[in-house]
Amino acid sequence: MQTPEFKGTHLFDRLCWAKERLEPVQSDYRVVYEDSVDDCAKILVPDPNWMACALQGGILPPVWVYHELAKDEAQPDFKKHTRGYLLHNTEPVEAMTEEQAIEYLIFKDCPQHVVETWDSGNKPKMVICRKEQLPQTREWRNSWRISDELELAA
Amino acid sequence: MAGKIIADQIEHSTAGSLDTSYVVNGSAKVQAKYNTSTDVVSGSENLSSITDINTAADTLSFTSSMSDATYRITGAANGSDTAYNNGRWIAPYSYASGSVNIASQNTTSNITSSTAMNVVVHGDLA
Repeated sequence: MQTPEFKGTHLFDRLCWAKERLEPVQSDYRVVYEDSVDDCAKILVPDPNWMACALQGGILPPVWVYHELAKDEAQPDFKKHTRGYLLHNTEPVEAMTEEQAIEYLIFKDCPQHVVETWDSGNKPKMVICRKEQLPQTREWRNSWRISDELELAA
Repeated sequence: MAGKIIADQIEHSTAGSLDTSYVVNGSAKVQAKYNTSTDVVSGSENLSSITDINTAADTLSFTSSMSDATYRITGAANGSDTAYNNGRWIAPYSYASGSVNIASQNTTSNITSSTAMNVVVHGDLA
């Protein structure tokens, strides 16, 4: 299915278009990360409708747009977004593979300090894995951590 | 987009008229139905991811950001998808324009996972 020329169309309208036409895609990838030494590991799960948009292409804005909005929101005098047009008027990104979509999502939804320092220190602070590699029950969920003995794939 | 109707008002034959801004502003901007135990999203609108952050709390990240953090959240939660199971209440916190945290708690205020979490967000989009 061909994506219409969406540059200039409100992002929410694009998502409505996609919801009506694209089959949701439930990814088996999970992103596990630790953003604080005091907290348990967090597990990011991609939304199936969002993944369908990412694989389709021409719908989602480039990830830097979200970073610009986050910078605005971090200003002490922030009241409301005045650069929301970046979401709607920036050229949408082309179709991604599932792996590229996960990478995009990491940059969009994981804390910046984790993304920037995930491989510094004694062990990785972030790992991409498959759903079946996670514990199969939620026992002791608040104690879950990334293993110190993790063997990383090349 | 094809099929676009531009109108500032809609009018009923007897019940009067209404500014379409009510419709635009009053419609839900984010919707999510998910299971905090399995992190399976069974229905959603305008969501990019759900992050399981502890026993029964998740971060919902939006695709089309809200204009600020003053949006409103309503929701319902239950321990079962098919029968009554100690209905839960939801506790939103850490509002940001692009995400919000939602915890699920039972009637004795213990944080408890929910099989059926239903969250709806109203407010203005960026």
